[in-house]
Amino acid sequence: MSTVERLLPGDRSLSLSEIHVLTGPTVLWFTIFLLVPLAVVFVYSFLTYESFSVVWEFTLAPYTETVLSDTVISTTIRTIVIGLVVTAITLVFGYPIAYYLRFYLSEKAGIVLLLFLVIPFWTSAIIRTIGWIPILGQTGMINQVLLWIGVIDKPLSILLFSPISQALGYLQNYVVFMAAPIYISLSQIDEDLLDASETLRGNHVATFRHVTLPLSLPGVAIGCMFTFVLTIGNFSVPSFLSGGQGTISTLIYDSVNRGLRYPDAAAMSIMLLLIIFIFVYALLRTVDITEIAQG
Amino acid sequence: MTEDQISRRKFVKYAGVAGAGAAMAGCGGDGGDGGDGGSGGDGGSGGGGDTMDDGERPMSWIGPAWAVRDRSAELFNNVTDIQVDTTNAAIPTTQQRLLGGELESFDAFSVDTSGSGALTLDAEGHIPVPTEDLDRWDEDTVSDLFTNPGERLDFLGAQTDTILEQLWQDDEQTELRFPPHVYNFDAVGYNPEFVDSASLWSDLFDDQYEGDAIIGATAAITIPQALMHLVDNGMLDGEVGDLNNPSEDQLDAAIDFLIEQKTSGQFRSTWTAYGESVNLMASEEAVIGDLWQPAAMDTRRSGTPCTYATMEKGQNGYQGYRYWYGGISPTNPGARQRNNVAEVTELIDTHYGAAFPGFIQGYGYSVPHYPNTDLVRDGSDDTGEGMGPEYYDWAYQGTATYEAVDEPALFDPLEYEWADEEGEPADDGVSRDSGPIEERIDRIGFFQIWPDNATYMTDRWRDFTSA
Repeated sequence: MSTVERLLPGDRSLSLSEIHVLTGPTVLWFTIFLLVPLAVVFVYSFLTYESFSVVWEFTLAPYTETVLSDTVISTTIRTIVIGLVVTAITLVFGYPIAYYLRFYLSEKAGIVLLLFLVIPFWTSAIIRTIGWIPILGQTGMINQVLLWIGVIDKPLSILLFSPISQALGYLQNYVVFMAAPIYISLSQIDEDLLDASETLRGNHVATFRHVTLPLSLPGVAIGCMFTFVLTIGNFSVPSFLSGGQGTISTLIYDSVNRGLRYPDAAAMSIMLLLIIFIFVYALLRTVDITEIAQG
Repeated sequence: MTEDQISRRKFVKYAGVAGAGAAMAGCGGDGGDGGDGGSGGDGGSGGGGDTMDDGERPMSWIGPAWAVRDRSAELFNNVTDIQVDTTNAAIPTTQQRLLGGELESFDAFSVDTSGSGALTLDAEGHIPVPTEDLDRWDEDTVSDLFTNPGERLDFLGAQTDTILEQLWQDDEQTELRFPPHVYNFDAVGYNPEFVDSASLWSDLFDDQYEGDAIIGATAAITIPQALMHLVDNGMLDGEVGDLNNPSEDQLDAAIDFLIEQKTSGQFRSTWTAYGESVNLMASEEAVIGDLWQPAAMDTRRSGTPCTYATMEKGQNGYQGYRYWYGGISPTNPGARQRNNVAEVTELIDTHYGAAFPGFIQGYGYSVPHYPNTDLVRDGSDDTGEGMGPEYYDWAYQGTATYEAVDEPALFDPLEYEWADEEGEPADDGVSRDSGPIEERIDRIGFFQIWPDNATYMTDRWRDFTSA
């Protein structure tokens, strides 16, 4: 039985032409807006740069001299580490949120509160990020409160332009991307299974460990995928909350912004794409996310 | 000199001379193939019979917000009845769009002198503007900062060649390559509640401001600021002429120094966007930084005091203001194809009128024709009124306001009621930050361009960005 057939409800079957008609628009969309642009980026990554212009002479220089430079390699490693740490932190915060919404609230209330997490996204990412400055800054809200209650006698500078501010910036931006797929996974767990675990004298921890967690892994995987991919490509947090410490996405931006160095930017983008591909591939080899679609 | 040693700009210059020679010999054609000088073949502007009433409407003008202002478009519209669509884009985006195929879509572009070389020297995306076509351009009343920078700024050594190169299309100085409309002398900005005084780029690297300073993350600006500090303090060998066009070794030294400063915690943050620098100063996250003057003004407008420094030349004379100018050029071939060369020339000329200087001084910027006191100080023309005596003398002569000002570091020239009539400066009035313009010119340390070793510079700048 093919994957498509497996996912169809009941005994419904599709003819080949129906499959083509249904998938055609998606394939066309991805071809025009994903594959073609990626092909352009790929080709540009092998072109020669001269002052403010790209020359149609093929070269490996963007890879050998830029991507493999010590600076880009160390920045890439740092970017990956940031991505993994942020994913882990977001999972630590996102899972309990999803768990609470699923098991401690009605379905309607859970969905409504989950949607509340989306409200900040009605404003731009830049504003959501810069919005931390009046909160975490030396004249910001937290420092003012701490000074007022006498906990500190001078403002804490470590709150802003530090790992703390970056972690908060990422967490605020991405916790919904982690919580939502986990919530969907948890919502699809058959409650009879939880009852069965309790009937078999499994306590809450055992039920969570042996039933809930394994069944929610597809949601965890999708949440991790979203969070990691979005984090390592994020531009606003490293730009506005790190104090100037770059990641690979800021280096890509700089390459275009300083002298229009498209081949270098393209080569670093391809490298970033490969990292994402490897991460997603490894994740999909570990967890079968199609389970989430099967309900 | 080997072929490799011929820099990009020198090559363009030599090509231009060759082009001019060909044009003079009657072989110039449309002037498009002769490098810089080739445009001399048909009188340069390429307008070729273009008049003020046959171009495509509306006109289109692209550039950063500080240079392409709706107010300018309004002034032009008031005078000519011609509508101008303005498109604001940062300098890299402007370059990207024009060099990426939109030279035909716009009539005019504006950038600063760090961004103009890519468009006017490398790509020839401009049309030179003969000064005789600019009714208000009068050598006698335009600052010698523009008409004779070689002499006025002779203390800058070889840097003056780079000014001439940006300004003039030909050695005879009959055509402007990149006609100026605004300029400034950038300096250190500081919060006087925390900093007693600052007058050198070295102050940004002073230990007493560790963790309280901010610095721009723009290679072509930040590196020369560090170079001025290093060379002036004997930490690096160099000549004044090297400062805006450094060698690879000098770039290495400056970038290594900046990385060391950054990793040791000297900077509270780096800034890239204009608003970032304002936020950092306004929120008192930082108390000193390499600010643009409008950023210092906006910091004040948010209620945080900010003083724009009067810069000194340093112990060995290698420091001083960072001078740049912004200009307007007709696009090649856009303005010609859309028959708008004459219109863009008039747009440039509008900025040399009476009304623009007062408006733009509100942001701290000056105009090339400020010596024309009959017009700029006391006069008026079809663009509007001049600045008036109090405002002009405050802006250009360094005299105090006629009225008392309680908080000089919060003074906003856009809010102050400037007198139309002559009056007496008040003892407790406020003078313009950085002092009279002639003194500012005397203390220029560096003219901002995109250097010849830019590829190497941007390669190495990644190290600073990621540090």
